[in-house]
Amino acid sequence: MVSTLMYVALSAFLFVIGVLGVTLRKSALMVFMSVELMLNAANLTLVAFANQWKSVDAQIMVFFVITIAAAEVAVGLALLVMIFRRKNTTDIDLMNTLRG
Amino acid sequence: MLDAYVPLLAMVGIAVFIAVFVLSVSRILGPQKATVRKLAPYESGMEPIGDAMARFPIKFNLVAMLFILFDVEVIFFFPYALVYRQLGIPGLIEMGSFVLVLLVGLTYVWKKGALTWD
Amino acid sequence: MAQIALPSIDYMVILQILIIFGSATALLLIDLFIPANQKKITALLALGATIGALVAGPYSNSGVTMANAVAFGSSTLIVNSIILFATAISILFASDAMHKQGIERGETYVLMLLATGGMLLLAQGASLITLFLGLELLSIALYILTAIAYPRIASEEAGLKYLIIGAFGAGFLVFGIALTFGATGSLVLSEIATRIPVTGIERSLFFTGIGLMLVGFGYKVSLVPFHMWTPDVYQGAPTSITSFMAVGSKVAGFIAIIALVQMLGAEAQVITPVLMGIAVLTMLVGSIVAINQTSLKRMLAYSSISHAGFVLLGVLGSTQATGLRAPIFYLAAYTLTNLAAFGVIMVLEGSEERDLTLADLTGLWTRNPWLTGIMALALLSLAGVPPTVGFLGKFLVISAVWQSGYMWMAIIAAFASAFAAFFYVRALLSMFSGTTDRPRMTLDARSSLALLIVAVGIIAVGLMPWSINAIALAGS
Repeated sequence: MVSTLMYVALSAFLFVIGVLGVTLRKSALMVFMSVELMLNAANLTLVAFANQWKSVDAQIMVFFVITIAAAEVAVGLALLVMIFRRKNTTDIDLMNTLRG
Repeated sequence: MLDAYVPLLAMVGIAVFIAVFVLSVSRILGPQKATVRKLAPYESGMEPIGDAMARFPIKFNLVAMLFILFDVEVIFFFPYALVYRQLGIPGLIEMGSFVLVLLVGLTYVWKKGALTWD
Repeated sequence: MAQIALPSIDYMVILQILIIFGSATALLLIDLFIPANQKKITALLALGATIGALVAGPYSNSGVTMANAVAFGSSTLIVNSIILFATAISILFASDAMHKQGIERGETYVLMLLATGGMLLLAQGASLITLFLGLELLSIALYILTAIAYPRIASEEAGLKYLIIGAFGAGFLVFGIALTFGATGSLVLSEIATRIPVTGIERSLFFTGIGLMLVGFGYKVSLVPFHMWTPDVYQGAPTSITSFMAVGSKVAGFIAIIALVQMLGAEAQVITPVLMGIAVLTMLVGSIVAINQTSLKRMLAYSSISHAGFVLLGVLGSTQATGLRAPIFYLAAYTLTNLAAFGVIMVLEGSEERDLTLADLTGLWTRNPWLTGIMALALLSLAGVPPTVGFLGKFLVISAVWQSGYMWMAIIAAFASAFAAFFYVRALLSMFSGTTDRPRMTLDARSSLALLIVAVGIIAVGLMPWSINAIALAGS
């Protein structure tokens, strides 16, 4: 039996990788994937704790997170396609039309 | 009062440390000799034909996106499928309204012409 | 086989949410059959739904329903009314401005309704699941709304930037929810409040979770240091959407923060010092950086950051005795003022997509005296000059903070608001000085009506102290 804290440690690890990915990666696609990693790290924690507390609430939460993540990525990809057609790049550092 | 932050700080510290540690250890210790074999996209695989960045029609993207959206909604049917007998008529009504909302989305997509292939 | 009973639903508790989501779904279908040059019908229908929900507010039942997921109470009624009011005004603005600029799309109004539904869900959320769903509904609709001015590249980029930052914030939020659940075994706010761990690893898990959740909401309401996206997104989005986003997402986000702080009860003192620091930083950074801005929308973006600091201060300064009247009144004041300011900018843009700068205000007095008056009112209210509503808001926050014993915070807040007044006055002076050869702007009936309502609101609510008491009663 693996203790719940091991799962939490693993997902904290995944979460940090996700955070680093979002902050360091340049390609918008990689950024989306890193966000996905963050959300799924949270899902892993939720499921592990749901098992520990014998509660289904957290599992329901996981369903919602998965759905929302898919919706978010769909919108993100649609935007990315629109921008890519114009600028021919997915590098978020080059999206600098807006400057103060 | 601020003592409550010590374990939190330790946890963040450990998490960051592990991430940095693993990344740097593989960078430092791992041999980084590039050979022709290693640089090939698929080691001991097929010779790649053409460029991976080949353009393909944007239509695939649209279909894939719609597929993801409607596909993900299916996860809400799994729990329902397990207990649909026990839920009886009220459950059917609830799921019916859920499907109805999905249908509205489908109708919108359809009417906007996103389902026609050229 | 044993029957499983579904949790009972009191539809009167979720009446406003039902009206908004129901009409959004219906409108998505109806809009398909409305020709492209008649989209003002869609706007009208959306406006009708919003007003319908606004009117339905007092008829809703108080209570908690759907397995402790959604609640409604007297303070929710006030917050929901603020949100729906902002939506109604924004629909009027959008319908006029987007038509003039040739970017009117029926989906705009559907998405605005969906975002409003998310805001209401956030305001009525009594469980972490509901809070998350509300926040994401609101966010995803706003990502699309920000980019809805395609093929303008600025709008598209703003949308993508907002989406990346928003999704990043959502990651923190969900992880925070997961840890909070792990420490307490519940996702319902009222249950969590009774199960806050006193010692051990659970306690650190719990406060890590709360901290991460506050980061998630911090991104949404643009607290420093999570504010970097705000100026870019506010500038890139179509102005009518900017006003909706600036007002709605901030009100809804703060209601969620208030719910979290209330859930913590006495334990809130663990995070109070950190939040105090964030509030002060937010006020100062917002006020100081705004001075350098020439773009009006960027200036208002920084001003909204600074106002977020004030609201947070008001949340922290609220005690049992004063209730939530300071932050809620401040949010109401912020709503009226920003709708007016962005509304004037939107009218001045007319059919151009150019980003207006401070220089465009020069000599406005000679072009459009009425618009100048409304803009002046908005700027005075932003600066917190009596007798506007902005003054009352600032006064309530500072006095609440003073009374709860954080004298230094009150002094810093007063100082920050004096500092912020500098750039509002600069904009004010440029409107009344110089001349311009730019043409007079004409106002559509919709914008005129919306601007008139908010301008009257700024003065009327500012002059009538009874409105504070009404909110005080509701918020306690």
